[in-house]
Amino acid sequence: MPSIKLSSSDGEVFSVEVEIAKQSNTIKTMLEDLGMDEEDDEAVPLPNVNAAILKRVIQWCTYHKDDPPPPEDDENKEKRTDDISSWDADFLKVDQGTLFELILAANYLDIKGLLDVTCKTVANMIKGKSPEEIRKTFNIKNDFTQAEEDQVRRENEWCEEK
Amino acid sequence: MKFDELPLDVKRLILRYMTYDETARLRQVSKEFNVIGQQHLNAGFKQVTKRHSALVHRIKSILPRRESERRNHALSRHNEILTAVETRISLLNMTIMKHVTANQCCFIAGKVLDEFNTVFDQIECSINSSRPIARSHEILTELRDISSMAMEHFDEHIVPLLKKKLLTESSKLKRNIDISSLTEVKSFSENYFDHHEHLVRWSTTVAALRAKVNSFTSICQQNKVQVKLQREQIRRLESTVRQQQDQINTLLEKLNSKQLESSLGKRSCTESDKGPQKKRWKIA
Repeated sequence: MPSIKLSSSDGEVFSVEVEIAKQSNTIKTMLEDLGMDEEDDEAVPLPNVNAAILKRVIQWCTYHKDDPPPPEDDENKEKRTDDISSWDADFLKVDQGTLFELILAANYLDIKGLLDVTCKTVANMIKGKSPEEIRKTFNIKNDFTQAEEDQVRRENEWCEEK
Repeated sequence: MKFDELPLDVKRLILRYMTYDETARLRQVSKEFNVIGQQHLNAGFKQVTKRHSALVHRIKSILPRRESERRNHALSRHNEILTAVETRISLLNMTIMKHVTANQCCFIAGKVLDEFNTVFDQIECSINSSRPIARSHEILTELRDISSMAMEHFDEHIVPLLKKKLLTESSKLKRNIDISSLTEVKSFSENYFDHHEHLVRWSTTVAALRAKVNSFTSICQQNKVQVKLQREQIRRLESTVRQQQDQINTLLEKLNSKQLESSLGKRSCTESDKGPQKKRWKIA
């Protein structure tokens, strides 16, 4: 099995099977378009991902290496968030900071499957919560002026049960 | 790392897993949520319109073209439902979307968008599985109800707010325009006066030059007249000279003839005295 080396932002080098690394479209493009030699001993630098996150990303990619390619997005289909596999759910039982960093890494490395499942997890954290609860969950500041907040509330009042 | 630090694109991605109804409620969280929620809702209305026309296109291509045959076709009810949906879309266009395109608000009714998609899902599901679809009123009731609710609420409670907002904004704008136009007019008039002064200066020089040119031309003309007069005088003088010369000539002629006469007379006299003598000389 040919493998390549990936170097994290903090300098740790991981040796990964090429087939696993190619789940990242960013790495795939690097290998194919830029003609990086797979046999090359030089590590591919990933300046946006630290070792702890890269380790997890590789773990996810290793588990999902035999998955069929994810389907193209259909903007008409409502995206389900209740179809996260139990392995993924366990994998993503991490603190918020790690989850967001995984999202960032998946976004940067362009790993659609991982990006989907991490976004779904965050979406599930948002669903069913009141605005105040969401603010509390994610530590978001309410930066509305009173008038602005009133207007948004007024605009949403039409479907509230009275 | 905090949620706030996620890039906007990622936040939009997360929002795509929400229903439009949830998106509408999320707008109340913060300014940023409001902005991306509004964009998501507006895009949602476009998506619904697009999906509707794609479905209409699909069904029209299957349905027979003859009206009588169309009525009995398995897809006639689908067509009927899509026509009713189109009416809803145009009603929403006339009420809410009108203000959205004017950038005054967003498409507030997320739940209505979800209901549109539910109806479309049912139609698509029925076409794909070739199973009959439920009666149109069963499918459309909820859509009709909630879209009417949304439009009613919008007209009664949101439009007055927008008008008020627009009014204050326009008066603010007007004040700004007043101020800016005033400074503009001021600078313009300053400029104008500058130019005007220049113009006046130039025009006086031009006028002076013109006067000079005029005086020169008048002098020229006077000179010309004088020249003409002098030429005439010369001509007159010339003619008098000629006359005088003529006179002189005639006088000369007269003188000549007189001289001749006198010489002849003398000769006759001398001839009588010295005639023979002279004759003699002549002979001699």
